[in-house]
Amino acid sequence: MKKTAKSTVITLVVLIAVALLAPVVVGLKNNYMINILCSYCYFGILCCSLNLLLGYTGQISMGHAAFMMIGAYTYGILNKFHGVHFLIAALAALAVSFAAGLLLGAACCKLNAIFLAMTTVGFYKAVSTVIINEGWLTGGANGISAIQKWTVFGYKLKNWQFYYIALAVVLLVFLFCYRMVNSKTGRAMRAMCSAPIASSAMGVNNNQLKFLVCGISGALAGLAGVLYAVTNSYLSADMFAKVSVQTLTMTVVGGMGTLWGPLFGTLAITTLPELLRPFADHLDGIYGVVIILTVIFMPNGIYGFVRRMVQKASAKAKAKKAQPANAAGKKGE
Amino acid sequence: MINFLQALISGVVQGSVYALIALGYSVIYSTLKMGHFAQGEFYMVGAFVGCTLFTTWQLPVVAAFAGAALFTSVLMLVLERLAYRPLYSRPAMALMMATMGMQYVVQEIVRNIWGSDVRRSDNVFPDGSIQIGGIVITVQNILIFAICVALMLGLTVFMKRTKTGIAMSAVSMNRKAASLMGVRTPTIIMATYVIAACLAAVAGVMMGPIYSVKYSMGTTFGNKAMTAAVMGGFGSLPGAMLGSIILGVVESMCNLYISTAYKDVFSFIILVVVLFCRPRGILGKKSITKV
Repeated sequence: MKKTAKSTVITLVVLIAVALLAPVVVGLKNNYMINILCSYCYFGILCCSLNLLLGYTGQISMGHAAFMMIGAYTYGILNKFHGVHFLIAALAALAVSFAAGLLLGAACCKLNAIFLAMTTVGFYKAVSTVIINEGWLTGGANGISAIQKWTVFGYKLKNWQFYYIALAVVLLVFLFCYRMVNSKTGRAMRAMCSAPIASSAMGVNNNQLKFLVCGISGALAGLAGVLYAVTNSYLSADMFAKVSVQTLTMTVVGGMGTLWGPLFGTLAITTLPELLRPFADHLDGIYGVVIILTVIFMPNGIYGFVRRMVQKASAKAKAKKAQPANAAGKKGE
Repeated sequence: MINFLQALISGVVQGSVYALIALGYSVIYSTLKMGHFAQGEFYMVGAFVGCTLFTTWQLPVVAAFAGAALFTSVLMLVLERLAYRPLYSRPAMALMMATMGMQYVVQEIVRNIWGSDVRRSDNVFPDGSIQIGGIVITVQNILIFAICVALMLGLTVFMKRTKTGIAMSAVSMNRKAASLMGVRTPTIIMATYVIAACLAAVAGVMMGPIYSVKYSMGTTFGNKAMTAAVMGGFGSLPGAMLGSIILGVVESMCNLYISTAYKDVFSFIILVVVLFCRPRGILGKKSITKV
């Protein structure tokens, strides 16, 4: 395995430390803030999963909320209506959304770009229509309410304890993405993204790879759905209406095709509505403007922008260090 | 049988309106090789302007159509200049994302001008209907269909015969070579967007009285038209028309025989089936990539 860069380790440690301390800072009893922290977690997972498709494989999914919905509803139905243990329900949700991802992957592994984008939009539409109309299974327009919090050995987990579990899941997902991207499959994915014909000439089975990545991405989005269901303890089909676009915004604004990008994007875009409370009515417009400004001025997202700034700064510092030395050398002559 | 024919006619009329918007998508795709997600929003802007001019200000129908087309063109020109033009030389994904963002920006603009209430528009076409052997065809349907067909024919002639149309296909074949031949590429691309916006605006004015006019009407309709364009073969004008008519008929048949709630699911299934058999759409040409 390739050696991890020092800056990566530092960033990771700082982020984890901040994430661990956050609930203590906002107050363990402050359920509102804890819920926001949990929302960072599930959006983080969702963005990582979209990034696998969008950033590393070059496939646009505009209906990513569909997988999240499938995961959340599978969990909700099993846990609430059939009383299945939460761990088994979560695993089942993962399996069902993986299957849904594979199904979509099978249907559209031959497609690319705009054709795939439209199919995923249609997929989202189809899933939400089924959920709203099949009331006997999903609670229909009323949704599923009062999904229970997790209980371990008879002890009911508090919200902040659940946050730590969600955080652990995020870290696992991040680690998974890291390992996947740096593996043989990950290299094949990137090769296919930048030059599909060349990669297939080198022996990468493009269609099979798309199929697989669709499945994995679907499963991760389903996992985000489970966390979503438990955090909000309520599900209805229209809660997911904006999720696809939000996720897309986060991934693009953060910087797609990098591991860190989606995390930065999640932090930025999830915080935005809280900061812009007074402009809550114009939030959609602000999202739009943010997307456009980002693609124009920061083509590689926040992550790319920050990295370029850091590189520039360090280059400047180096030049400054080198200058006095040169001057001294000239005097000596 | 009469039910079937009636549904067929309403499906074809609905499809021909989809076709107007789908043509916009196709024109943009054939020039730029990319989608334009905000197309549906210009349909919505057209509906709003038409509603204001015709219902509130009581201007004649022609003025409503002209005004809507003019307003959307100007809006498109400004937005294109500000948001799209810096992105033409970047990877296609960037421009695609910008058009996604544009969707929300246009909605926001409309909400600030007209508010977020639902509006009712008066019927822009004369009332009345014709009966042929038990089938009722309203004058509205006939006129909508006629206008759509006229615009489609006009667009086809424009693309094949005029200098601008030929310049557009030159830009689509090879942008660099076209600009070396003296084609002003940015102007041509701008013209493409404006044509698409005008078509959508006309569709908006016609559909305003049938559906209620509100700021979120564009996304659904735009998505449907894009589905139709994709199904027919993106970038091919006859393909967009064929795809739209198929989609319209499928929806109205589904309404009649299966269920109204599930028509979106059926259009998705049809889309997947079509794309599974022909990944580039019904009339889409197989693209040969040079290595």
